[in-house]
Amino acid sequence: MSEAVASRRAISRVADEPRPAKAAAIALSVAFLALFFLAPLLVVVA
Amino acid sequence: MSRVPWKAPSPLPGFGVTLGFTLAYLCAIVLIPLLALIARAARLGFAGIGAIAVDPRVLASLRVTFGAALMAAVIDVVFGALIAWTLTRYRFPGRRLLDALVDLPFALPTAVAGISLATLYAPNGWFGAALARIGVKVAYTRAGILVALIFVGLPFVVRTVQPIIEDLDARLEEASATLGANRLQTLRRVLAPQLAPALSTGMALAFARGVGEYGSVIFIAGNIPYVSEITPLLIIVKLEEYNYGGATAIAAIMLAVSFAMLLVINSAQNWSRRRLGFV
Repeated sequence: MSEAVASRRAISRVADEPRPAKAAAIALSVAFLALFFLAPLLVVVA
Repeated sequence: MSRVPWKAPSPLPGFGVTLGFTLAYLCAIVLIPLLALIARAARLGFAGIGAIAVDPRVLASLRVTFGAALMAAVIDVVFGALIAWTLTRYRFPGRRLLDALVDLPFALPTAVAGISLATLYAPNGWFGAALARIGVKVAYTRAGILVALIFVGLPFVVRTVQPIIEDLDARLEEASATLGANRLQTLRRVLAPQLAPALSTGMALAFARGVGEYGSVIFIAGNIPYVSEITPLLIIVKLEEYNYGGATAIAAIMLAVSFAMLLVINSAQNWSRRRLGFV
């Protein structure tokens, strides 16, 4: 495998973040904001 | 003999005026009120302040206030960094709504936040009822204080870290990968040094806000002396008893502890900058 191919693969490894990691980060952020921020707002509205 | 100027003229115009205005403004807004507080507390003398400082109720309230503020700031740093990363790097439905939600504690009056959090986490509330089934009580306990402080402190971390993540050069991460670093090494050696200053600033801001927070906490804390009573509430109690000396003495103690803790955080930043080359 040439160096150029190895570099390209390494870069795409960074650019194409693994889906589980991305999904987990989004899910955790959404859950945290829903729990601490959206729910109090809904209580105020209700 | 030609006269030598005593200092090199500044290339920026109006230095004297801006410095004078800055100092005058800081004195009027920050320094004079703090000096007035210290002067009022000093009337009690060292013995008087010392007696208040070792009062078990005051000590308990200081422990609750600073312990909860520190714990909330640490939790805010962890989740604040994650949320800032998610909002900046990923595109998903509802991202703009979540981004706007982060600013909610800035817009919502703290009393309203306290009432809504207490309603949520009360034993008959949406979350409180579910938590009560597994034997967890949040409202009217120290955990309630933590929830309120996490709420008010999170935007300080997210809004401090977000611009830094936006400005991160992706080529550095790509270069790190081409040099053979795995994701963890890239995070530790490339991203962390760039994010650390903003994270520590955000933590200091969240901590400072948490220490002084009153409105949202009193509704959810239960305010039980020695258990869940925060120092700002104790100051209000002293004022309602017309014990102005006691109130200012507690405020001065709080000021000294806050100043010492912020000094420690800044010293830690300076130490890590010198030793580790970042922060």
